Amino acid sequence: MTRTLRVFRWSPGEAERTRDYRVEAVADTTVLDALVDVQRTQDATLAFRYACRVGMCGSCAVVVNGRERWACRTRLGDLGAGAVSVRPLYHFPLLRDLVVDLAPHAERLRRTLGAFAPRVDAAPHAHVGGDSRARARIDEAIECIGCAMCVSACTLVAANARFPGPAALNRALTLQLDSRDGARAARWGVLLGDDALARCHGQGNCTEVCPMGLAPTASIIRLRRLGLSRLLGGSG
Amino acid sequence: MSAVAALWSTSIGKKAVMAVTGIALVGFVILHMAGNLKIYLGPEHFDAYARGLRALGEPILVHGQALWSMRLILLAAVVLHVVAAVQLTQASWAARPVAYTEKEAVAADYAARTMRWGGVIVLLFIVYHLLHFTVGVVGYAPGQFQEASVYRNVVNGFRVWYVSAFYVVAQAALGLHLYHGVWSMFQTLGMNARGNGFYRGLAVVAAVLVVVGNVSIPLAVLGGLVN
Repeated sequence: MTRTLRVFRWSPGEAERTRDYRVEAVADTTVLDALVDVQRTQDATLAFRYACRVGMCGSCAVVVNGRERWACRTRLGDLGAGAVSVRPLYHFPLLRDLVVDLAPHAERLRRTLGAFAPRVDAAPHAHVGGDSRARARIDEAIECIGCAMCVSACTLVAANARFPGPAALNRALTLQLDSRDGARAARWGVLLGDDALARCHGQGNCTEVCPMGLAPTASIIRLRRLGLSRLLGGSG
Repeated sequence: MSAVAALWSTSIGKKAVMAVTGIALVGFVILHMAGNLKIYLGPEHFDAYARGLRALGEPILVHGQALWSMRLILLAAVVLHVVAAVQLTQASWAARPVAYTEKEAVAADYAARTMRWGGVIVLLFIVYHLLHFTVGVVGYAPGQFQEASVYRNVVNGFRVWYVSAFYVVAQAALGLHLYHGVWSMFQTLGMNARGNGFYRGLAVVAAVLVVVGNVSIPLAVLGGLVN
């Protein structure tokens, strides 16, 4: 079966446009397969990003038919009839065609102290059992692969440049619940500021698109509860 | 810094204040609507209900003490709710000083997008409502308002069609405010991390109950069912 791929194209100095490519597809042909085919047989200048090709790394994240998806796990056959539109993630600087600059994503993680900072008195090696309470509390949030689809889907990221976005806040939850982390007080300073937890409108777009089935909205709500409890003199 | 000051100094704390005062105000609005429905039992029941509110808690409390205590609590809740809303709105506008040239709401529904101005309409309605049915200085011919005849005041008040129309419009605004507010306040307090369905349902029930219950009264007066 022949399918049409309507791909967003842009290079520095050029005008934004879309270009249609006709590709032969079988039942299991994915959007990534089709893009690779276009690049190899029709247009070697088409730029896109991918690595693992098997739905693990998240680097092939793009917006397909208006929704954030990983290209390697999206079958053309599941997208209905008609042309399939492919465009880069929203809310990131564009480098070329489907490739965006993810540096702002890393910057948001840095601003929310997204790296684990061991407490000075923390044991160098800690065994956290898979069935322990400490692990269970963050189990739902820990599997983030950093694909940034949630950031693309979040409308608040566009509204407020200082809003950390769903991925960074989801990451923050896992660290605020980690008793070995030494930066929790400093991180609360950021999270309880004007531009973090208070800004989320709870629309749930991030949760809708997360390819790992995580719920950043729920993580933000949990962080709010912990933060309010801390403000009222509780632990957290 | 005390817990209260710490709470008020942060946006998330102010939102929590809005949520808690919102819960108190929603509770009041539902009870107020339920009380209003006593009008269908006739003038004796309705006027007795109004007198009963003033006599609540007697003889332990003096006449009117419970009612005035409730009024002061509600006034405090409204003031905190509005001041927090104004300050949060200012912070939100400051966060994006330049408006979008093009803005299309994706997931935010009409109720969510009209919370601020809808809230202003509800506040103006409350002022009118108090001047109308509590103080009796607007919406009546001279001498028509009788403090002891609450049933008669409601009937005379709602017989003016444009006053009834204003109440219906204001109730629609209140319904939208409740629909988004009830859902939103639980999210602010971190209570609906697992699924939205229950709280969305709760918001719909609260909004529909209040609007249908309250709107039925001016319509019943204009239709001659209550006279």
